[in-house]
Amino acid sequence: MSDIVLSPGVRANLLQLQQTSDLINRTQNRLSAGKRVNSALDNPINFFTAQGLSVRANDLNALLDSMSSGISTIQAANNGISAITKLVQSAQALVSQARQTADTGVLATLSSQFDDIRTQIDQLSADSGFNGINLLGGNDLTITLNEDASSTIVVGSYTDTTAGDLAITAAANNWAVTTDIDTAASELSAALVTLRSQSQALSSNLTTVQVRQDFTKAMINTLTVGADNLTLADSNEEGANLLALQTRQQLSTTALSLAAQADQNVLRLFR
Amino acid sequence: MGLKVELKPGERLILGECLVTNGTQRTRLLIEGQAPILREKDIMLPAQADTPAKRIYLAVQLMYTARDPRNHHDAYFSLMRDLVQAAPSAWPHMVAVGNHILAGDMYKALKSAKALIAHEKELLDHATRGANLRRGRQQDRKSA
Repeated sequence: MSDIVLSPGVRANLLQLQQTSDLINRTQNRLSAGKRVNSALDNPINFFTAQGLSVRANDLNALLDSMSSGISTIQAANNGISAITKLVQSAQALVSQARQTADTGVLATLSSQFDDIRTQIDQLSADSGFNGINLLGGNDLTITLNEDASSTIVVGSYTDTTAGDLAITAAANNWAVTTDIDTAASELSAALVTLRSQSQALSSNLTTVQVRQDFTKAMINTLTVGADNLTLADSNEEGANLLALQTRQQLSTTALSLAAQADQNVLRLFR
Repeated sequence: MGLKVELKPGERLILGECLVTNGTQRTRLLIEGQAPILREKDIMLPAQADTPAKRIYLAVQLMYTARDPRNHHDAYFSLMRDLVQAAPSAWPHMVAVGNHILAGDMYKALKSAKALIAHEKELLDHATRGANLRRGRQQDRKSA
């Protein structure tokens, strides 16, 4: 008995028929439920991914919360540092006034004003926290940057008190002796250097976290679009969509700007 | 522990902001430090990036080799949005790419982008095969 030989065309037609009957069943099911993937049996991978999506979006949102409170903490510390810097600068003004006089009465007044500023610096430093974390008061801040917490950023703590990192001692002998004024002057300029470097470190941390925050926000937006469409996934449709997108992108500004950006990059050497 | 790279004669490599070209012999390099490293086979040039996923790979690659990756975030996300709308099934790969970028691990992000290209190829092949089948069917009808 001879076999039945099916030409490729016939085989394709048969396949199409099978798929069509499959499709009719699925469509009926979907019509009754109103959603294209409505059970784990329909398309297990997409079903469970879609289920997991809301969980992931929540994780990312929690991450965003931690980032924005981290940003506020760093900003509070940075504001504290700039206020303290101004105080140190006014203390410097006192010192230069003291250098221009020999009147012990005036010197005593100036030195007591200097001590007042010291107290204000300590108070400011104690008040530079956010949410109970004060980066100028010896508290560390750890910000988690991704979902599984494998990437974190630790913002180091400072102790910006006159007795701590700033090392500004109280005015000695009512500034009656010139060397005491000199000591105050050199301590103040050292404190300014410390403050400047701390502020730079904080700003760079701030930029890092802000970039990550923007990225995470954009990622959540993109993912949410994906989540809405995921239950609609169908490889026939997706393939056709991709072909259309491929053509559309060829004419898009994004493709052009990518090429332009590559020209400014090390990639330009690669020809 | 550094990265060991073996280069064939004449093979090229991007190291930081430089292009390194191997001489006439095989070379073994041990590279330590934090500069971006891209082997010739991993490099995607703008002219080669002719599909949506390949363009994403290019964008990630630009982020990796750029001094300030922020310049490329807009392009990256607009490409991602296009792709996720056209092919939602690529979603898990796109999440992987994003998470690696978020963790600052750009090399792994590139690897995930490669997986994304493979996934896209499957879908595109499927689509072109479908078109061929249809064409085949019409020819079949003519011959019958």
